[in-house]
Amino acid sequence: MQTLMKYSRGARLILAGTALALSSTMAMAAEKKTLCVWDIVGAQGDVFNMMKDYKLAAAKWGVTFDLKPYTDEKIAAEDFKAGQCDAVVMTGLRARQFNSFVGSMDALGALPTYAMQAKALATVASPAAAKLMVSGNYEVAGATPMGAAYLFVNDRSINTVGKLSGKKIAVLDYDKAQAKMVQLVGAQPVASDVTNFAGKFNNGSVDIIGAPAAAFKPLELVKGLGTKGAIVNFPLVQLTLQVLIRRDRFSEDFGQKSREYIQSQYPRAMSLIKTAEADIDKKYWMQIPEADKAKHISMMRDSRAALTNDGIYDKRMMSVLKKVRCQLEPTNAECAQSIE
Amino acid sequence: MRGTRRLLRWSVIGAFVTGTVLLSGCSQINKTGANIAMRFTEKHIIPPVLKMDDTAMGCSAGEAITPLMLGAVWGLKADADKILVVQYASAGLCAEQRAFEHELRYLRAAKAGLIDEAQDARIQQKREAELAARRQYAGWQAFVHHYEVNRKSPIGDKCPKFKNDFDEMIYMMGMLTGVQSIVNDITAQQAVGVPKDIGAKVERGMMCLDNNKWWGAPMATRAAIWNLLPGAGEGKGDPWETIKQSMRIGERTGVRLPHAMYAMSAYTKGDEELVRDAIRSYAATTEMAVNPNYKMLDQMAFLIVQNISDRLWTEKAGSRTPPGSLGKFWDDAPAQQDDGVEIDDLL
Repeated sequence: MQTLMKYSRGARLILAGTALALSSTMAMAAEKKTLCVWDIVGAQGDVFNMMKDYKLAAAKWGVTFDLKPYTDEKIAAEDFKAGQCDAVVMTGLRARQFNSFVGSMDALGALPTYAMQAKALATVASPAAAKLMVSGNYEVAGATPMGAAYLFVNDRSINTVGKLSGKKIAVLDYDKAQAKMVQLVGAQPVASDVTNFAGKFNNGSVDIIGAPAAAFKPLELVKGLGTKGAIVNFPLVQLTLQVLIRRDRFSEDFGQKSREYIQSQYPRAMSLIKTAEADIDKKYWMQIPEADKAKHISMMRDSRAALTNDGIYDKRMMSVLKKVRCQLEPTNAECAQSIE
Repeated sequence: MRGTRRLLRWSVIGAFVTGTVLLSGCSQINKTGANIAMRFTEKHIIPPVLKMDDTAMGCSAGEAITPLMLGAVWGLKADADKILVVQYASAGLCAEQRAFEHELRYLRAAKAGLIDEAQDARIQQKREAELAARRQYAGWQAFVHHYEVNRKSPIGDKCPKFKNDFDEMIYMMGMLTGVQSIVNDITAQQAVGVPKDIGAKVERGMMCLDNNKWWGAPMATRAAIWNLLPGAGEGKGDPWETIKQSMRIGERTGVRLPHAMYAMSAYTKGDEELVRDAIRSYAATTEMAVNPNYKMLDQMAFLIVQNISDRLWTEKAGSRTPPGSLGKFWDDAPAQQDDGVEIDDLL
């Protein structure tokens, strides 16, 4: 009888504990969270549209999101930092300050093909990588492709790394990696932001910009290319969009569920990217001469190594990305070396 | 015998030539007749429709009449570009409104935690948005064909020499339809593939129109694009101030398209205070004399503002703007209650 009472006391405690846990989960579920969404065109853009579907997926996991559009990514990042957003969507370049491991996926020349990027994204979305998604109170709750950034040059004779020397290149001031690379190739960096880099290229005040194909039509980059310009068909950086959350405002398992959902949307994101790339007239694409390719790849690798030494890129991510490259292209020279 | 054969051969050739001439003559007559009908429609059918303020009827007419116009274009090779701009814009409006209804359903269901219902609403919204984008893009293409191909005036690069007010109105409507096609295609996950350079072309193309004559709509559209496209407005002035100046022109000339641009732009930016200001500004113009020749366009502006108000109300209060409440919001301080007279002495 005493044992029975002991059991029943234990059962009562378990029940009480469960009830408490349930009620706290329900309180969490009932509470609305703010998801600040950076989209260059705001509430009518592709990213915001994608997040409307994400909101429904999250509702299935018990989280009700209010979506708030931001056209200025810097302000979205600041509001997230200040705690005004429970979660945020921004580029990996900007998100690097919150989690340098995942933020380093957008490293210079680290993923030369979309197949490689797909593998890298699958790696970070897997439960095995869950711990690496967390840094302090921040957690990366998903990453999706935004398209490769290519070099747009106003003269197609700029087709080797050597010819970049002395040229004016627009660099986004918040991404230290860009300035470093420009410095390494001996070019002249021109501090810019997303509102003026295209204008500078189109009016000739810079010779070179880096941009994804999605920017080509809306920003009429064809004007900057003119009759002599070209787009270098070699991904400079594989841009990503990342969802970040403040951990203390979500349940323990939210991040992983979110990462798996975002990963499941990969084909949708890729289809937008492919459409944008196919929309560019073939005549504008320029291949790097075969002889210069190795030099190009090596320049990128040296830049990455320098940036990793400077603490801008995460060493562990550089090693993951090398594994990805070598798994898909095992005959690459770098696979026998140990630079990264 | 040889003479009879020759005669027969010449008879066959003669019959063939005569038949061909007659048939091509018929098709020429048909084409001319169809073109006369098109010009008649431009002159005598569309202007009275624009005087109506029933947008629902306007959109239904667009859905019903567009196939007939296409018959004239495909079958009779008539030049119906300008009419098709109007018809496709109207037909696009129908699909856009249906998409909007599903968007509201999505918002209500998501708010109530009915996730499957909300998901279904999103799917349906995307389907209708795709249809709207398809129609509006077809309208844009008819517009481009008319001005770029027929009149050699590339949109955004060269202004055409306008023939009359109708010509100018089509120029504006074509551009607005193009911009709408981008917005709807984005909702539809770019299922149509509307080229995204339309925005920049329209920004420049609107400079071809007299802002004062066209109710401030050209400058308001440009300013809305400055807000939308990074760098598009550099050195061109403050977009909000430009829109507000255009709104005053809209109020003077009786068509409130700039008010609609203000609401759309503020909503896109995600600035709720500005959205409320836009809706209030529109609601404050109820006494305005609507331009009798363009009631339909003023009514379309109303619809745009009301839709944005409905979105806000649904997101925050669960249902759309109540009757007579455009310009008011769910969290407005309640009006001072009249407590009647003191009746303590009776108790």
